[in-house]
Amino acid sequence: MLRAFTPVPVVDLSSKERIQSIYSSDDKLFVGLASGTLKVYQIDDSLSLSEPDTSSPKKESTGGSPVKLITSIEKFTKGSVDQLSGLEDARVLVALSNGYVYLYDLDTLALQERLHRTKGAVVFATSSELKFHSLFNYPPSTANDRRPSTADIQRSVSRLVVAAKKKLHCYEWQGAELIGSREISVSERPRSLTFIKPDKILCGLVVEYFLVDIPASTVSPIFAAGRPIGAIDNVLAGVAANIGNIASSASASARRQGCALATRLPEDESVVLVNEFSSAFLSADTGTFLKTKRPIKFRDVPAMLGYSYPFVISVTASSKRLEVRNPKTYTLLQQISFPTLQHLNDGKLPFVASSRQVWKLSLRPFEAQLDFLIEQNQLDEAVSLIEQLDDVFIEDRINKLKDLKMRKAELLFGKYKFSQSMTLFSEVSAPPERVLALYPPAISGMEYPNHKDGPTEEEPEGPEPKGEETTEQKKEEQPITGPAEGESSEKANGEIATDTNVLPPPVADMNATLPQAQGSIPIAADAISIADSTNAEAQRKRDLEIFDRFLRPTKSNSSSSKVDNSNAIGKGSRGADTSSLSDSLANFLSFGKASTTKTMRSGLGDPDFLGPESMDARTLAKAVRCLLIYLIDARRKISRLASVQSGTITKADLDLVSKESMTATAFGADLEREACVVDTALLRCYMLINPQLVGPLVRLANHCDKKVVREQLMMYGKWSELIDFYYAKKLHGDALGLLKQLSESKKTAFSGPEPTVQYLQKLGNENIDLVFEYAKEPIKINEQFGIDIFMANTPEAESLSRPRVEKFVLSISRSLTIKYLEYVVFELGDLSPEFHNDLALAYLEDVKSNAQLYSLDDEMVQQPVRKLLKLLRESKQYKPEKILRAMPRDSTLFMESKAILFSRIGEHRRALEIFVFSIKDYGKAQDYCMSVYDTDAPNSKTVFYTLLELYLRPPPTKYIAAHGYNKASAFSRRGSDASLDTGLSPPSSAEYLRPQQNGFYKSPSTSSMNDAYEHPPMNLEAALDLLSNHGSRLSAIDALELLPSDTNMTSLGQFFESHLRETNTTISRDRISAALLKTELVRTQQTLLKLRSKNVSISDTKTCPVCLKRLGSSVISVFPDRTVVHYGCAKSYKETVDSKNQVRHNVDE
Amino acid sequence: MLKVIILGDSGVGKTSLMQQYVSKKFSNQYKATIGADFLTKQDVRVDDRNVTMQLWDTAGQERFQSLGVAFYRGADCCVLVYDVNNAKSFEALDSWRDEFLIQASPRDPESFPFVVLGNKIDVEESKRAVSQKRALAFCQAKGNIPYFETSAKEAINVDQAFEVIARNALVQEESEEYSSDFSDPINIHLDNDRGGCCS
Repeated sequence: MLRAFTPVPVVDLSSKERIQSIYSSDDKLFVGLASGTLKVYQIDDSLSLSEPDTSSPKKESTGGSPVKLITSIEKFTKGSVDQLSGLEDARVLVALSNGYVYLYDLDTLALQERLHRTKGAVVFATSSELKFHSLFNYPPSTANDRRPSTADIQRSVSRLVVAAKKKLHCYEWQGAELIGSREISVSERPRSLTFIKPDKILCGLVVEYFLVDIPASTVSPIFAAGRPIGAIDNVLAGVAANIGNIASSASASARRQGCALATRLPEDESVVLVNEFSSAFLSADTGTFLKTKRPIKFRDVPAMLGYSYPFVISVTASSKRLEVRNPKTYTLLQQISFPTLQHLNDGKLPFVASSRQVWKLSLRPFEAQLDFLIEQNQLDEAVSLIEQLDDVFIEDRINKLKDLKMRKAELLFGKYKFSQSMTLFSEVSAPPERVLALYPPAISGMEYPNHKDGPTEEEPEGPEPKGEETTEQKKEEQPITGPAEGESSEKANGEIATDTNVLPPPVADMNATLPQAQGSIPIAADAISIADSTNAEAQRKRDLEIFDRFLRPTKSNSSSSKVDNSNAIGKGSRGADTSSLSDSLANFLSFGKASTTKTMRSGLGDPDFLGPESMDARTLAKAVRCLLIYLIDARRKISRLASVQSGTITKADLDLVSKESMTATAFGADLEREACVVDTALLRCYMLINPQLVGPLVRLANHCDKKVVREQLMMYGKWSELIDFYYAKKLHGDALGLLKQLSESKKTAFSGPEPTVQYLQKLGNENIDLVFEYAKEPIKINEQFGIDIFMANTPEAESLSRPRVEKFVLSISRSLTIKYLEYVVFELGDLSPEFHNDLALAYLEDVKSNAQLYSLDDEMVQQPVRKLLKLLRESKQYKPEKILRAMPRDSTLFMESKAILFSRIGEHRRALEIFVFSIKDYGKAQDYCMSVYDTDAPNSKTVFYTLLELYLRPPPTKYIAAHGYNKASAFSRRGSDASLDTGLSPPSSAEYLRPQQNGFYKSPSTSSMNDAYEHPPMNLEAALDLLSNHGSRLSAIDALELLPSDTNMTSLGQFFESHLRETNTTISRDRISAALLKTELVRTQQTLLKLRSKNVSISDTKTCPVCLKRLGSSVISVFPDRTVVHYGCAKSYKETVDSKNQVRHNVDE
Repeated sequence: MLKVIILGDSGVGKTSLMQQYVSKKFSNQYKATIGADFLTKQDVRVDDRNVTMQLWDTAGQERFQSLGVAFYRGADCCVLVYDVNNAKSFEALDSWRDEFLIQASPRDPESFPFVVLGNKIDVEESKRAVSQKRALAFCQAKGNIPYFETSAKEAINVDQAFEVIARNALVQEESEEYSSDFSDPINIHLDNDRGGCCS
């Protein structure tokens, strides 16, 4: 049993003397005797707390008395000294004797006063406390936990309450001055008084209790007719009633005291009331019963009760035993036997006394007490004690408490109370390593648990050793029974042993992604060969494999592909067959535990263990499930702390939402590493008990160990999760490598290129090289994948660098390039000229190459031609020169395109040449003119004339042919080759232009009519048509000049008519505008006159209203109201007028 | 007692939805939720039963997210809220769902009831950033999660949504009771006092 207090005998009086009362104050012990003698002893402080009292009390007693008699005053009082107490602040010693209360000086012991009114006093009580008056009003939220500061006025208030007859006499000292007294009447003679607050006293009568509020002089009953007041539950009511019914108390000692016992527990501001075996708690603030606190159960009826920090002490009614209890847990911590005790002086320096002996209760250092409790494995008590103690008593209290709680949690774990254990671990934010050490390596991931007993060995020694043993035993005894179908375990074991080397592991074709794999050697086998040196590693591998095999309902002896594996896993874990899962779990865990023990092997052959095993598997599953409580909590806390470290959130934010103060050191110095341990363990747990949660875990931000994740997820074919994990971790290379391998296999959900494509779609420009690397193959299979990857309407696809994508797709196929460029140009509306150019050129190439394979009318040729035209017409971004240079000169396919291009560069003549000579579509030629005709642009003003010229003075045939306008020269391979170098201004064009400038066309008859310069016949019909439709848009003189002289006048009729009309229209319009302008002139003149008529006359006497000087001949300003002021005064006048207006305006409003 | 957790980005209207449902009130003022808060709605009629719903409102802002008690545990239904005018809040739903699954670790994550609410549909159509089609596709992909478009401000669809939430939560609670009855039997073969465990 704990030795919280050590009794030290301090006073031993002769048998004649009888101790009637004791009181200790500071370093003095006052002992009042029945004879009226007062003895005062000096207490040697060095012996009380500071000296570690590790040895037996005997040694203590031999080492000299700890107290020294200072003085002994006989006849201190007339009668016996019935009660002694003091008011330290007032330096007053209070004594009760002969029914009177006497006041003495505490130091000199001189009698100060006899309180006359206290005649018939039976009991009194003192209270002395500091009152704090805060000068400032603090907000209510902070006021509660705020400590009194020096700024506050401190005032000590001491109270003395004396019960005499049916009255309470209350005296009050402030400082050392008695300032007042009052009387409060009660219905009966009080038997006991207990201060529960400085200004509240609990007053025990014969049959009931009253709560007396001294300043208010109110008396309120706690019980009414033996029943407690207020609604409280039945159990408590019964207890309370029992306490209230003092009269029925049969306890002799209680009768002697006159009432039941009460003491105040300062820790939670409650008051414990005891009567016989019953007890109840009152709130010191309100005086109501606390429903939440269960009563203390005493084995022996207590006769005296007190509180000495931090324990409740009581003396049994038999008066032979002092009991020390923890006020929180009520556990009886210590019992000290004494000869009959009659007096108890509680408080800081507790003393007990019999009729002639006094003992000092010397408190052992708390550290020693704690160590003792821990040694005794009373962890609850140790926790409770440390929680109640103040920081000053225990060094490093917080950490000690944390450590204790962790020990307790470990104990609970050993008792299979996993949930409680884990909750406690989370409560103290235990380091993950410590918690995980309780679990087999399959969960904890701890490396090579080589010691025989597995992780349980790491539990604290001593606590519940029996429980520990059973746990261990159970676990060790678990047989490994082979696959779930019930094959003989021996056989299974044999198979396992051999299979590990023979069976290709399920992830056989994944080896390339594993660094340690070489060639086509299966991973597991490889790992085993590596692990030959490190046996534990091999064991572990094998355990995993065995577990894996358990999970597979059907055993595939031959090369079991990972596909089968993953399917089987899917069934096993998701299906209803959970029991087989837990079986395997048990095996798995037990394998992990007993990794290197040989007993495991011997146990294997015994089939009798089949039964309890499945039950135990559930327990283990339960343990793992409960681990989640801790892991999730730790994960959240660590992530929050990490946010604080990284500055995402502030410490203040954290404190705002958490009650406990979190520091980064709560878990461990290296948060990153702790996070990794926690998340990895979480993953392992999920893998075992709830694989469906692996997905959410790896998709979220996590710190799982990459290696473990890969190992675990590959083992069970959780490809989708693994890929999600890689994605979340931005390990895109790994993910894509895996996807590539999976795509080659068959039957999985990941075969084929689609998963790769879907993954690539999620990657943006920062991973563009990876995208290119892995996009090639899917695109080779189907070009549509290219569209999916590069042209998806997603931010990722759009973020990809367009020039780089273009370059990439260009290397793959032209059709994809065209699609991509079309997407960029038309859908994304990219305005960079490069894409427009490249698209046009790509169309061009498309037409060219298709033209060699298909006939010119074929859709394969015509479609790109149309697209090209569309682009050329709609886009304004491309460089026409560049496209023109790339166009074959003689291909009919591009004639219209060329026309557009020429038009773009302002070469209307050449555009028109195409319409006239090549396409021979005069309507289009006219439309073209219409579209570009613009009288303001010098270049396009003359288009109609140009067209007319082409009709009437066509260029030489050779020139036309050279430009490929002649339809006869169809597109040919040779032609296309030759045309490639056709420049923007070919030499032939220059040749052609030169004669024109020389007025070549104006006198065609003078030219030498050889073959080269033979002109095609003029197209009079088209010309006349043009003239009649658009005659007005070209100069009549120029037109007539071009017309051959033998043109029939009638055919020109319409031209003339339209021209005349146009001219007439112009004349009429001009006339109208002339007339309008005249009107305008008149109006303006009128305005002028009006303005001129506004005049002011300035005489010699006329003065300026501002400066009041004569205006004379100085420069003046005239205002609209004809006020005349000096020019210089105008500004100030204007201001006064404005301000007046303003005032008026305001008044109007 | 049905425990319902409401999750979603900050400012999507979690608190407002809850207030509207429980006390038929709406405030235009934004006040960030700190930690977590819950409201209780009593006498919710689900088919023929009267149930009490405890609605846990959570902080959307990272800095105010709770750290202490794992209040996700024992949840019967999780409500994911986003703002139809804020595409980011929609995209975050997946993470919120994953986060919930990890925090709550339900025994059967696939059948655990979620309900998605697209809030703030009272805002003018031109500001809408997430189409109904897109939201429905998401819900479909996540196992046919019920989807509602709501307005806490104008009390559109709020009661209807919570009716479904209550019904699904009730189903979940019953199934949970069932499964915990059968999957964690009391082990009579052990002498040790294996106390109650997490279930």
